[in-house]
Amino acid sequence: MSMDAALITYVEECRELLEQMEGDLLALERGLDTSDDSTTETEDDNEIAWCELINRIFRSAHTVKGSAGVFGLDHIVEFTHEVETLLDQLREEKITLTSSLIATLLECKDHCLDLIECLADGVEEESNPQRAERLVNELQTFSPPAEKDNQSFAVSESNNNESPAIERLGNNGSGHWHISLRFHAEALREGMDPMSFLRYLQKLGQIVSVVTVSNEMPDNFEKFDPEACYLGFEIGFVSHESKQTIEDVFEFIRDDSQVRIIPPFAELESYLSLISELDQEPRRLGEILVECGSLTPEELEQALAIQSSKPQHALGEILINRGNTAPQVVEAAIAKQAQSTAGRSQNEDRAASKDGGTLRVEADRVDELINLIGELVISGASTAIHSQDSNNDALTESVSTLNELIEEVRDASMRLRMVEIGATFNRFQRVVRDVANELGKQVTLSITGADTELDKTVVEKIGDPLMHLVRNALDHGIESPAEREAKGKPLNGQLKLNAYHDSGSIVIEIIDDGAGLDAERIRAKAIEKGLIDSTYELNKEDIYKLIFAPGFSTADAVTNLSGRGVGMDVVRNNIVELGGRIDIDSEQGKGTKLTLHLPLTLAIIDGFLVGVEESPFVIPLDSIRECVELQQDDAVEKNGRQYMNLRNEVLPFVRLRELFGMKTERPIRENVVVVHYGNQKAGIVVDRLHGELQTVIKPLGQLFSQLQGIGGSSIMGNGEVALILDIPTLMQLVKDKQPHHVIH
Amino acid sequence: MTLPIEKATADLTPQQKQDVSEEANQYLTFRLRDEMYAIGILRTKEILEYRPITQVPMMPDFVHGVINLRGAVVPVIDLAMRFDGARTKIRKRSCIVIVEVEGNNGRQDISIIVDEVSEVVSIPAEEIEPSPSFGTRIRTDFIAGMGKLEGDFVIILAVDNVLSVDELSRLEGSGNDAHAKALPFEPKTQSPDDEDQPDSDTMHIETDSDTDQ
Amino acid sequence: MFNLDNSTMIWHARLEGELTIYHAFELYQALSSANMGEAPLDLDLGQVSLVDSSGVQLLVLLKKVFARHHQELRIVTCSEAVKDAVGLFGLNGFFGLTAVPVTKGTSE
Repeated sequence: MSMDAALITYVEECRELLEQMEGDLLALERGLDTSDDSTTETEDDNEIAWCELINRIFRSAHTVKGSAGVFGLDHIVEFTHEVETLLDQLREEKITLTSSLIATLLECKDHCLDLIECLADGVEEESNPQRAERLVNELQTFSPPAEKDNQSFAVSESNNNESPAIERLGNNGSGHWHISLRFHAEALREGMDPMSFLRYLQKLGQIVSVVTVSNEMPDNFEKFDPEACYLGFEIGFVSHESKQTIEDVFEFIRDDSQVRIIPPFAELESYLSLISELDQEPRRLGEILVECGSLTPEELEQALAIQSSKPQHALGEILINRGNTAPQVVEAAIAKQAQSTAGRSQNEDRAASKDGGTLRVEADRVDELINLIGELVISGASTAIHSQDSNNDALTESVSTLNELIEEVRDASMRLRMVEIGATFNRFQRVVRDVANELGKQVTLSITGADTELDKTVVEKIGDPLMHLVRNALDHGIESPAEREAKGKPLNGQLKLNAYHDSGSIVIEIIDDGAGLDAERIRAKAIEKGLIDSTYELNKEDIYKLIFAPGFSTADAVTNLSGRGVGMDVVRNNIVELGGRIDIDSEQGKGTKLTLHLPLTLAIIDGFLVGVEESPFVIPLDSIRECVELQQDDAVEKNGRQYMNLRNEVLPFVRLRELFGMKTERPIRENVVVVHYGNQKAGIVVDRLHGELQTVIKPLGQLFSQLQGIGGSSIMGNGEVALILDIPTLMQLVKDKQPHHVIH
Repeated sequence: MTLPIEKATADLTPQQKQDVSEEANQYLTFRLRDEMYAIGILRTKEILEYRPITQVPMMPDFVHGVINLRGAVVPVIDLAMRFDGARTKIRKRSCIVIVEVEGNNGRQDISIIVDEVSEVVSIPAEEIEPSPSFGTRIRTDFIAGMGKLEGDFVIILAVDNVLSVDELSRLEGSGNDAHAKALPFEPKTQSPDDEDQPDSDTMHIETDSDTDQ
Repeated sequence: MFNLDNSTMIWHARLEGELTIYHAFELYQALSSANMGEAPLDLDLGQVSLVDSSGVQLLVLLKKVFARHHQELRIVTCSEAVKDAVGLFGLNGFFGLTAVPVTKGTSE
């Protein structure tokens, strides 16, 4: 029942809209550049694309403003109004697009985002009035002189060119709209107060009359839920605003509540269908419409007469028989009505079909579902064991079919969390533009594999490391235009982000055509910093990896761009924590390619089940090199060190039972799981090896937050909890116990 | 802002009003060794038969391990161990009680092992005395009050203190206990209560009835 | 506070403060009583400082309950906030508010 729910949705939506706006602005800017170079044959195409982009930018700004109005966020309304006004002028070609205008609009977008982020932190006022004022002034310098003191909300009527003919009949100028609202039961609990919608409507025009419909409301206390919403409204409304503007008011409730908007001078049939759609006594509703001033009594009689003479859904027939509409218009009208029944505008439907029809669901709910399915998998497994014990073949058969289905359901549910990496990549357009400008370099970012999917939790966590790597490539990789010219390279540097799937993991590549890594310099630097001994013989790859060593930085001067106190070592650690790794490939003078390998999801791991005493443990499969039996003859234990001879290699090892303080005698036969982390290898000695399994990771909770060596837990087929070993911290634990330099 | 309505005496206050305060007066009592303890019923979520517990290594001894509660992994605290360092022996009537604990980071479920769950009793507020400042066997901040029950006293536990996640997780970090165990070649340290401790086999024997697959 | 005037057999009640979703449940609990609607009620809303849709909705419910019992529910005084909210919903007639005196400036 908190106000928060609605605001959170608003904040999230705004973030998305603003992000899209940024992408669109940058696309416009690129278009501007190319059209400077070549004013050639594709101009017409460009023109169309431009209009669409500008329209979309306008709509984004418009929605941010409109919804802000519903929440009474006047400072956001005020600021975005200015932006919107300018965009509208741009759309109507009253002003021309220049790169400085785009730069200002980008800053405006940043300011909006700041306002939204402040809002997310609970600050509902202008956070940076100076900037707001400066930007508004800047915006006004772009406006054509006549429009400088534009007071009214300037929204043009012309953006409805995609509406079907029937709506055009009388959609110009002022008019009497009819708005029919039925709020859904959860509206109040979600913070959507019908009253604030009405108050906002008052700002857009004049509410001629309101009839509150409360048919759904019980007339006794027992059945009444004080926090449910039982309200509906029939509203007669006079306004000059566009249909889009009025529809946008209801943006937030359109999905769950019933919203019908009938434009001025609409056909009688629109009202007729409203009457038939609302589950209500027709005459009473008709009278309400008359009361709202939306219909005259005569029109109502006429409409009801038509309705009663025809079967319920023969709206089309009515229209045609009346002979005043062409069949194709009827089709459009019916289609339109069908859409408004679903509570969506045509515009939005188009957007939705482009996005493949998306459904916004809280991440928590998906997690809950996945949890439950994890449970299902577990009980499915135990059912399978029982059925096998029962020797009932038919039962075993059907249980196995059931389990196959359950696994499919699990895979499908995991896919719910999958998002495309494109959004993350696109964010870098702006970064590359700004950073390149700042450094005086020319860089073009190209993106491929944007539709590669990965788990949302992974996406959230790779943003920062990627940012760092991209900045690093711009800063240290790509040379200045002068240098490039001297080397005979094209002035424009190329940065490429690519993503693809490779055997259960996602691969992200960051490729630049810059200077490449200088192995000799890195080596010299590492020696100077005492990271390696000057006698070390290292191959190229190992030298490259040194840039990820703590305390290493290749740039002689730390610039304020990549030298933000975060070294490449932190970047690598972040990736490793996610269960991933970074590879470097570089050719001096030609460029550098960084390849990130990341798991598709953090919720499920492929593990290897081992046992010590009665306790099961899971070791992440990707950290395992091999498993061998421990040959007591090969194991050396002295001076507190334990190591074994693994094919003439010295492998330090630890007995899990000793590390974990387990008290029983060790068995005669022991097994070694050889694990690796980075370039370190170690053996973990366990009693038994059980085999591979795929398992859902369950966090151990706060109580165990300090615990090292164990990363989580997993519930097995028999309902028992198995602990998942965390190899990096476990190896650290072992290393701490061992005298120096044993592990390498 | 004030409550907008003063309540009428004559026709208002139906049963529901009473219910909330009545529940607040109810306690689950249980036995741990020779002592009776009580936890507010609003804080107890569930009582389970004893079942095998997955031990978590390198934790203080009173952290018994974790269990699977319908897909959630819930820590199990050995309450007796937490009180005075003696491990609870698992018997036929041993139970696991799931308790909801309020901490700095919100609510969390933690379970405790008790020797025997007794009953749910009603102890009106006027029958509860403040915890004595000395002479109790357990830390005074673990005691919310002493409830009078049929002439006897039960210790009403302050669960948020007894099972303070913040404190418990800190203890684990500081305990060189964990450290000592982690050393592979230290002679095995015998904690004073080791002889008290049933090995895991006996636990399984008494309890496998509810978990066989 | 619900007072039954023994001479007239009319209930008097006064709601004050906020009639909003944050208090909807409390209010509902306080108002829901078995014999609500068995005698006419005079409602004083003069000290209501804030009303949202849930508040109006609750008033509509009261009105409906009384209508079911064929008893009268009268709003005898109302604040600006009530008047404004009821007016916005076009319910002035429903509550017979047009002639009701409005208190200037509410309690807070």
